[in-house]
Amino acid sequence: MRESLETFSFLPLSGEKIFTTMHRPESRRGRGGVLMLHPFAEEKLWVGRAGTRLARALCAAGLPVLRFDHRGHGDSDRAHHEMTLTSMVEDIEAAADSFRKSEGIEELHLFGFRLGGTMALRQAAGLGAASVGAVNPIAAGGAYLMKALRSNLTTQMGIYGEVRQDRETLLAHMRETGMLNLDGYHIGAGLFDELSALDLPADPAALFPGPCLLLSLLRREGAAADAESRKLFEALPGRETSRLETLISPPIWGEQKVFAVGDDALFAPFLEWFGGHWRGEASS
Amino acid sequence: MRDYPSLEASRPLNEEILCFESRGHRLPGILSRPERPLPGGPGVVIMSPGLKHRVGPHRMSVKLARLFTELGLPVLRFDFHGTGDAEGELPSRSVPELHESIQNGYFADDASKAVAALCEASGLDKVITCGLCGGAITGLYAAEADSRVDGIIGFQLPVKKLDLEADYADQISSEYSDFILTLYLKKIFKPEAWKNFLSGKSEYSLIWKTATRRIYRLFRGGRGQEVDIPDGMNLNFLRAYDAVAGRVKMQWIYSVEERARYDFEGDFEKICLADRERPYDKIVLPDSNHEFAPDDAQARLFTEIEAWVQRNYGRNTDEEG
Repeated sequence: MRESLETFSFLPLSGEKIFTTMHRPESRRGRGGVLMLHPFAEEKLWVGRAGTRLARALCAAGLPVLRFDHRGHGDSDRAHHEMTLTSMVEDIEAAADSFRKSEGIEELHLFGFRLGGTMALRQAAGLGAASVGAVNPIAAGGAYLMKALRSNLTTQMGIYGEVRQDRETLLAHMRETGMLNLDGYHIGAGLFDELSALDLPADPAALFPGPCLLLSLLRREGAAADAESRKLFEALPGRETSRLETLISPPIWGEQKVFAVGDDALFAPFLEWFGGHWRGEASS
Repeated sequence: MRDYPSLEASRPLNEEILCFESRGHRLPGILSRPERPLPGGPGVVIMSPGLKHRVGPHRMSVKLARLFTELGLPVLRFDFHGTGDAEGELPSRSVPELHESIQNGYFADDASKAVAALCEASGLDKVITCGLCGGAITGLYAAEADSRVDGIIGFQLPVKKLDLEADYADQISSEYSDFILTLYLKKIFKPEAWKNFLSGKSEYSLIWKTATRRIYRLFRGGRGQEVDIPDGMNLNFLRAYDAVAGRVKMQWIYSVEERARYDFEGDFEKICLADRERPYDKIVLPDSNHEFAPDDAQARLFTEIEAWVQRNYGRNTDEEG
């Protein structure tokens, strides 16, 4: 299918620019639109193609979709270490504002994989969003970053055959230099601290009170949703109009032997949700 | 060595969207223009490693775009069809199968169209291709197809094909086989390693074959059996290399422990090239992984690329006040 209604552009923001991809449906359905927020660092690349194809699927169903790169990521301005939580929020607000104005969006929905889902849950209320969809959102930034640090240790093992800088040393180095190398990305110390302090279940008032669909990807049949998705779901003020669903699928935000492009099973819950199921159906 | 990374605020690059077509698919790209173009300098097409988005692992392509534009060269990075934001779909979801296809030229057409798009957009008729792994070999295929490709910078260039049916141990070069054997021998006094060995967690076939191969060569002595082309060499790579060697400037950069380096040195250089000329620069960098993620590895990589570009294409002589 010719994706001829996709438009790539740069959105100006405070003297810098944000790369955006607009998916405009040939035949629009309702006045809703979906703003997609991306994961952090290399997870963004791993889920990239699935995100593109999800956006196309939503667009084919009649919904405009806007994807964008945070400053410090993708093709937007800034080096990675210049990213802060403040800049991320500014990016989201600018993208949402532009989306509403250019497409006449009356019902703004937010969607995100991983940290993108976390930011969607955090920012949706302030944006007056109608609903949120998220795949394996991160509940607590501190635990997420500690796990990400493990990959630095693994890289050291692969290169040196030993860990030369343990976690404490890496963190001390970050305090001294202002940044930390995570898989080649340089996370600024400021953002590291801001993400470490992020703990959405501990602060339900910060969570979106409207309807949310959380999808947890699981490796095993019969397993419960992952702990982070469960914690977030339990903390949602709008739990009664929200859903927590599971899907048997390997995690698509890391290395694997299958090219993660997403499929109907991954897309269907969100096609239904943003297509109308967000309007107050009973929670599961 | 380049001072990297730097905490300084980065200056926004002068960039524009550049989309072009390949085989009916629209491929999105970003064209980065230098503030001070290098007179007579080439453009640069950055080839992504294959399946990942055009920005590359740890946004390497964006960092490279910044480097090349600082050197006065315009840069295009783009998505191959079926990847990133591009149209089209790939024929398989199996990563090993896709990697094998890429190494045999699956994205060569897209790469050629990218070269043409950059030349048209920049008004240049000379281009360098630059890429990691699958991107490196795709750049070589682009050079074979288009005489406007004047230079290739390739990192971790793979020269042996991935045989999905064959045993891994049968595909690797003698040098890499010895390297793996050395790693196992280093573990011989480690209890953890014996625990793995006795509990079925070791790669017995690999251990057996690397050891017996070494013992066989020790008993045979000398250079071993003469072969023109070692088993498993990517013949498409050899063909493309032969087509461009002598015409195209080449820089091949490897990390010390990269398997592809052993294949390049052990099978390609020692056996395929033997006494033939080696019209390329080869750099081997220590302390790095496949994607050059550590800070020192990135700094060294960018330093070597900068030196090579300036050696081959000159540098801007106007000094900023």
